[in-house]
Amino acid sequence: MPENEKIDANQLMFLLVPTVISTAILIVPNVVAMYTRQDGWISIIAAWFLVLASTLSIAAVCSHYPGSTLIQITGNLIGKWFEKTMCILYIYFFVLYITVPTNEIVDFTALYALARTPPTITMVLFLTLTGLAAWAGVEVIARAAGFMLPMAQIFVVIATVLLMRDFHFDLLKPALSTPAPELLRGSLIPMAWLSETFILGFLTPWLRELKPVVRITWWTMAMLGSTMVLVFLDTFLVLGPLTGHVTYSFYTAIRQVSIANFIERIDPVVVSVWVYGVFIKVSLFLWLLCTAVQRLFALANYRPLVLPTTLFCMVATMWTFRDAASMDQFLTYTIPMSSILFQMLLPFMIYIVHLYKRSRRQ
Amino acid sequence: MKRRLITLMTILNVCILTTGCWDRVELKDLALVMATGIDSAQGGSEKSIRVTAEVANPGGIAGGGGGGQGGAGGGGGQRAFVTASGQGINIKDAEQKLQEQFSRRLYTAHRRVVVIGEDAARRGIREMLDQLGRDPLNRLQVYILIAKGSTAHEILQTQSTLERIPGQELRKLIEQGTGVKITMLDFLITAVDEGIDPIAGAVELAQGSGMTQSTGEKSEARQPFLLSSTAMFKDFKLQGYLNDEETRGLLWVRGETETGYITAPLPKQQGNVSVFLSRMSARLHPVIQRGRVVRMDVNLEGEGEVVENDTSLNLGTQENIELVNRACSEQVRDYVQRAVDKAKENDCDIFGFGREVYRTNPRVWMRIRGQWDDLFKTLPVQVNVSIHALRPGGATEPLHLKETVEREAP
Repeated sequence: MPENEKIDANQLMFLLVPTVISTAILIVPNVVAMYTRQDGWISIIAAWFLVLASTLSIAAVCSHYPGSTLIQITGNLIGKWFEKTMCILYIYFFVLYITVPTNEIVDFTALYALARTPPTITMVLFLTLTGLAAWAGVEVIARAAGFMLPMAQIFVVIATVLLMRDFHFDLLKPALSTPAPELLRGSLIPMAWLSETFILGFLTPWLRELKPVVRITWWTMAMLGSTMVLVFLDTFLVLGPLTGHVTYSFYTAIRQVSIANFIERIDPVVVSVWVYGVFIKVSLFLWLLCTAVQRLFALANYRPLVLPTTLFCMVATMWTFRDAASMDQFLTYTIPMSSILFQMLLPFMIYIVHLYKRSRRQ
Repeated sequence: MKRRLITLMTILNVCILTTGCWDRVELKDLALVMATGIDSAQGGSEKSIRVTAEVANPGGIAGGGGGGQGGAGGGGGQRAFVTASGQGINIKDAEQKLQEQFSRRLYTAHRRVVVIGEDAARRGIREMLDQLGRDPLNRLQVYILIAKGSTAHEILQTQSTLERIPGQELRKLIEQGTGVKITMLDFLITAVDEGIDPIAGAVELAQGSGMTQSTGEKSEARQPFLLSSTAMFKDFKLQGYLNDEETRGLLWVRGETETGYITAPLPKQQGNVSVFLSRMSARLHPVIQRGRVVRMDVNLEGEGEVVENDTSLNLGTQENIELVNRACSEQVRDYVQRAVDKAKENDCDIFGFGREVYRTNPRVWMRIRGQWDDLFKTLPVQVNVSIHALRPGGATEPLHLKETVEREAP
């Protein structure tokens, strides 16, 4: 069923990491600090462990069924009706994952970069580009990601070095003073983002070889966890208790960089790196959406679907949220729940069924 | 062929459409705000404020002139800056009024100093802080200054000497390092954090400068500004000031100075010594017994070298260095003690004693935080200072004394 495009295992990592990090960087430090203040890094680590378990289970299932996605595997394991239902559910979910990040990046650019450009124009241009990328296919997106990932990672490291002068390590005290329920609540948001690695289960059919999947999952998770903790610490050590009050707290922290009145105002770089990251994320999800629709109706090729889907997503992006406040509400209260269901519980359930079936067969 | 054409068209379209020209701003259409002053408005309603913007005048900077004598009001073209004021019910409203006077768009992203008039600060600056942080154009790196005994308007109108623009002079005065260096970010962090009250630098107009200069009389050139004291805030209202010696004590305790000078009298030797401290450290230690904060220990340590000695002591010997150490420690203890007393008087926990309790004993803090204001007023504070003059500087014996006559026996 897959077209003749292939990605290799490293490219899988290149796709997964920016997909999670690009938007997480914008929101996570702020929301985590709202609940857990200086103990946010603990929340992130706790979330990381849970997501590691679910992602590894996805990787384990997928390497058992070469050539089929997570949804098709459910068809194999449970039945055709279940596969169709799942397909529709995930299509809905993918649409959300296109409209939400697009809204985020449009809001962000409207606020800090392109204040006078009508957001609709930014959005239409952005989605047109992602549509082109989705049309070109996963291999092209993976190559674009391979160019982007080192850049973003190096940037985070450079930002850390530049910010070091503004770090106040005292702000992390008192450590471990947040009660456990708050810690858990704080870990919901990083969990929602980290568990976006579930798209692993939709990418494995395009892998050149399946063997290194588990190893790559480990690498991906390591990179995600460390980057997220680093970004949180970068932010919190600079902004301290203010982190939870600022909308784009990592960005605000970066704006503090000022070394010898010479290296200053590096924030435009941030904007471009982020837009690139979100571009990867949205094009990947757009591509996933198109291929999911293709499979739902058992079409031969997904490419004819790209144009209508992109147009639909443009409308959906305008339609989903009335303003930034309602999106904030959605991101803080709705997304964690739905993502735990779709990204962790359902895949985990599939894993259980898979284990059960296998033990029956033996 | 057709395919290639389509690709080409697409690429061209992308290039043309994604240049971001919608938001293009020419530099010559911007008025760079170098400093902003906020005062409470005379007349008008109770809460209205007056915002003064100090805008760099490119013609004045490039065309020379300016300097000391360019101050006359009519010679606006000569000065390196222009100021204007607008009144409004909040900052943005007043800035709108300001904009109505300028042919270029006021651009605050390069602003480094915000001066708040004493009167406005006493009434409370809670309403002002939000705008300074929320508007995406504003940066949190701006320094906050309180115009002690005057208005922000007066400060910003005063012709500076070493720098062309007063805002620039204020910024460099802060960054030069002897005074309080508090940015918007520091201020907000301390305002939000547990158990600490914010401070800000307080700038005064030096005697004889200021508005009198604009009469055009040729007085000697004086430095216009003096940044020596600290403004203390409680609930976003200015409560009082610390003078320069108390400020030194405060900055040491808050760990905001790395180097400094201490001058201490040695009454027995009828003279003074000065020590340059190249390393300063501060540790707060709350003493907690049975869930109550019974005492706050402030432990200060400093190391450095003697740079001035007008006594007749020979600093080559250990006993005499010990004398210097003790005198300096005593002096610092006095600074800090006075600062603590004043802070208690004004009910401002500017040292972050409460924060230290929170950081070391969060459980205790959560129980007592409601009554901290009262506890702080009666909290015994023990200041322990130990200063080590590691080196006697460039001389052991006083350089000017004759060998045999005036020298004290070692």
